[in-house]
Amino acid sequence: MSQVLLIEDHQTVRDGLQLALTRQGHTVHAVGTGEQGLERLRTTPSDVVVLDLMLPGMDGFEVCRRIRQLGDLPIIMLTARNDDMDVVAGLEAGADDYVVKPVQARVLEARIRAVLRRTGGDSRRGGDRAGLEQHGALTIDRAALVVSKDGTPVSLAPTELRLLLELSHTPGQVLSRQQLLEAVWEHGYLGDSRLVDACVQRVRAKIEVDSSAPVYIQTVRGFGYRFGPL
Amino acid sequence: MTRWRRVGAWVSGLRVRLVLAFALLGVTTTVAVASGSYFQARNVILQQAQDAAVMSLTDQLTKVYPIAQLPPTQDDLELLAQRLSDRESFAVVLYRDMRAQGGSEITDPLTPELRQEVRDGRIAWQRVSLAGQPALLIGTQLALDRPDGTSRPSGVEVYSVRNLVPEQQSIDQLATRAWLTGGLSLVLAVLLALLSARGVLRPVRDLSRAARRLGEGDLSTRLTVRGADELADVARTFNDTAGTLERQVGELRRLESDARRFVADVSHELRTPLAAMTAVTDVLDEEAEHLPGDAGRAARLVSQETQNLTQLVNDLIEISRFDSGTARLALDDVDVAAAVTATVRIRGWLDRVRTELPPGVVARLDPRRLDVIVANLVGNAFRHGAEPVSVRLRADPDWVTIEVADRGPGLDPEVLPHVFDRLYKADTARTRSEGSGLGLAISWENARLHRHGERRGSLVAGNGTHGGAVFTLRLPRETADTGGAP
Amino acid sequence: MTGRRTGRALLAGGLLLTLLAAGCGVRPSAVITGRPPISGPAQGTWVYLLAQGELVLVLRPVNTDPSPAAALSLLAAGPQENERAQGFTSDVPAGLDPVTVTAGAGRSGDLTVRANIAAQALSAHAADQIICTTVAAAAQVSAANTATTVAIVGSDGARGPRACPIR
Repeated sequence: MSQVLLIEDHQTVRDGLQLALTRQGHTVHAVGTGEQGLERLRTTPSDVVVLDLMLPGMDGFEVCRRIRQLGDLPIIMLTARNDDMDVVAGLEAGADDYVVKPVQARVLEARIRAVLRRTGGDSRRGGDRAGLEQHGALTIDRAALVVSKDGTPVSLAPTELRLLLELSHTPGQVLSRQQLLEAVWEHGYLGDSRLVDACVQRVRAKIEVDSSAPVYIQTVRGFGYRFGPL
Repeated sequence: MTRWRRVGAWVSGLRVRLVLAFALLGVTTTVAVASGSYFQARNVILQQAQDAAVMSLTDQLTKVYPIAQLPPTQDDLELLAQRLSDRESFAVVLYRDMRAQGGSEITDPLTPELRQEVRDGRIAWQRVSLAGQPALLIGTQLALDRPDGTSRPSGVEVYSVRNLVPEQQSIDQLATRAWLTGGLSLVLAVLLALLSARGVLRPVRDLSRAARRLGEGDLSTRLTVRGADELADVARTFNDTAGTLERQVGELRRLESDARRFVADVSHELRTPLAAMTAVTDVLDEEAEHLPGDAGRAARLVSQETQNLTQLVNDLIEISRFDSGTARLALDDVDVAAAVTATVRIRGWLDRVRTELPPGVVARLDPRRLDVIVANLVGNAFRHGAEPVSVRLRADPDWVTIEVADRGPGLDPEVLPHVFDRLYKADTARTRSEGSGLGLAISWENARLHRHGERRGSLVAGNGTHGGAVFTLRLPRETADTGGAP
Repeated sequence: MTGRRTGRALLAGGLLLTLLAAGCGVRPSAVITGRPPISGPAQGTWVYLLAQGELVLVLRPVNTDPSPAAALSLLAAGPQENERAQGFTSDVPAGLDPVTVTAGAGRSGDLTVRANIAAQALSAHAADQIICTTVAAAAQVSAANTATTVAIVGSDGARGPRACPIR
């Protein structure tokens, strides 16, 4: 069904997750270190990476950054805690989502599916409006899922693209973090708003002229984010 | 009342007492010395004035002799009186019914007792007050010598009235100086007293301040030991006591933090095997349906308890993070009503909970922690109370209050003080599957983690007026991200 | 405890101050007596007259004869004009003169006055006048003193001896 690269140093955890994900129908390739994982990515394509942050040798954040440099492959972090700096650092390094260990297989499976849906395989939201949209210097092609700035395509990770599409779908309308979490990340309950904040930061870095004075994605303090008005 | 008590305490305080004692001592000594020397000097001055006056009168009178005529004529008396009068004194000369006075307007300055003494044949003098001024009266008869060495009174009495105003002035000056000396010595005594009071009181004040600091928890408080007096002993004792206290408290703290770290370490160590086990609980659950009899039940049991164990370990880690002060808030502007509704909805309680959630209450708080608290409170209400369970939201500009109430038997008064204790089991029959026993403790810590200035979140347990337990969560509306103060 | 002690201390201080204030300045005193009165020589003959029933000494200018008889003669002559004006009188009759004064036979120094008068009829004042004047005059010429007694011998016999009551 999909190719999952699992990078996790603990043998038993690795085996357990591999077992469970395989039963869900994924093709899981499990490795113990970041180096092995990167090596594997060079030779074999994967649809999603499940990455433990605590790795021997090259740590998870570095692996995350390297994978981001290679392309827009979705990354789900495995973290030991859900409210420490690791989460923020991981999100800044480019991760799309995270789950906290110990995690039940069905939770991880749901996140994998949500991430995969964003990669364009299922592009309902982008497809229901054809044609090009022009927002200032930004051109958004919802059909082709391409965003260009001054004619130059901008490389956006699937989650970043999905967030931008979600926000630009209703220009000038404020969306709360929880709304965005539900729409983009498909978190059915109160999610971690830091996911939104980190992703907004990444998108701003790619499309804004000055990310400290954003024009496209504006923060509405006390409410959430808003696309424009330009 | 308190103010008066404080004034009273100040008046009876050591400083005032010392000052009073010094002042009294100074004044007493000064008064004794000054008045003693004053009286002595006054007597000397008066004595000298009197002696001089008597001597002067005697000298002048010897010039009257030899007396050639008795009885004298009025003219004789007048002449004598004039001769004996000068600036400082005037004379009165009497002979039987005759009287002559030199100078002065004062009539009849003589006292009967003085005249009696003079008539009885002695030189006599007396201080009197004449027209408000002090004066000295000196009186003598003029006697006549006889060849055999005796003398006979001639019947002529001579009185000299001498003004004592200069002496009075000298004495007044003395008195002024005595007062001045007394006043100066009083000032000096008070200054000395204040100085010595400061010397005595400074160590006492230092001690008091140090004791207060110690009481407020600053166990490293020490006093500087000065000198070798009793106060220095007290300071030394204080230091020893504080040192012992600091060591013991330090030891206790070390033991406690060791224990906590141990719990945290154990929890973390448990996490890896649990992560592996948790990953496959879904596999077990699925397979259990196909496994026959005991094997199926065993698989379900392992799966269930793995999840419970995971919850317990997660809670322990959460608690240890509060204890170590590393818990951080992830603040967001949250529509509280929506957040509470989401919490209830996600857990499938929407039909069982009566909510009273006015819309539009936005507060800055950690939505995950709010979710944890509300879910725990509502879950507890279902488990230990009775339906209907109600959730009420109220808000004012400073606070957001969420009240979770049930209609069960309420909380036992004996349980009430312990509901937020860790692993406290009010109901001994309660099984672990119903919760880790840390839920309320974590909720309490989560509430307290929200703070803004002086305002600090709180979670309070009680019983409602109509029975049933009521948990009241109060969070500041504007939480500042001060981080992990425990 | 403290209050009472403070009160007592204040009381003591107040008492001291009161004492000090009261003892200030020059205060009237009782009569203080000193030595005997000033005394000096007199020029003249001592004669004792009467004034308001008392013996009073008067001095008469010195004449050539300082003897007691001469003094008694002056006494017999009575008060002079100015003396009378001041209320002096004499009980001694004018008949006293001529008079003789002799040293008495009894104890040494004692004197006898002889005159042609009725000695017994003399008043007590007159007798004292004679005795005191005699002794005073005798003191100028002989060793008569205050203890010296005088007897008066008249036509009707003797009176005395007696000492001058004025000492």
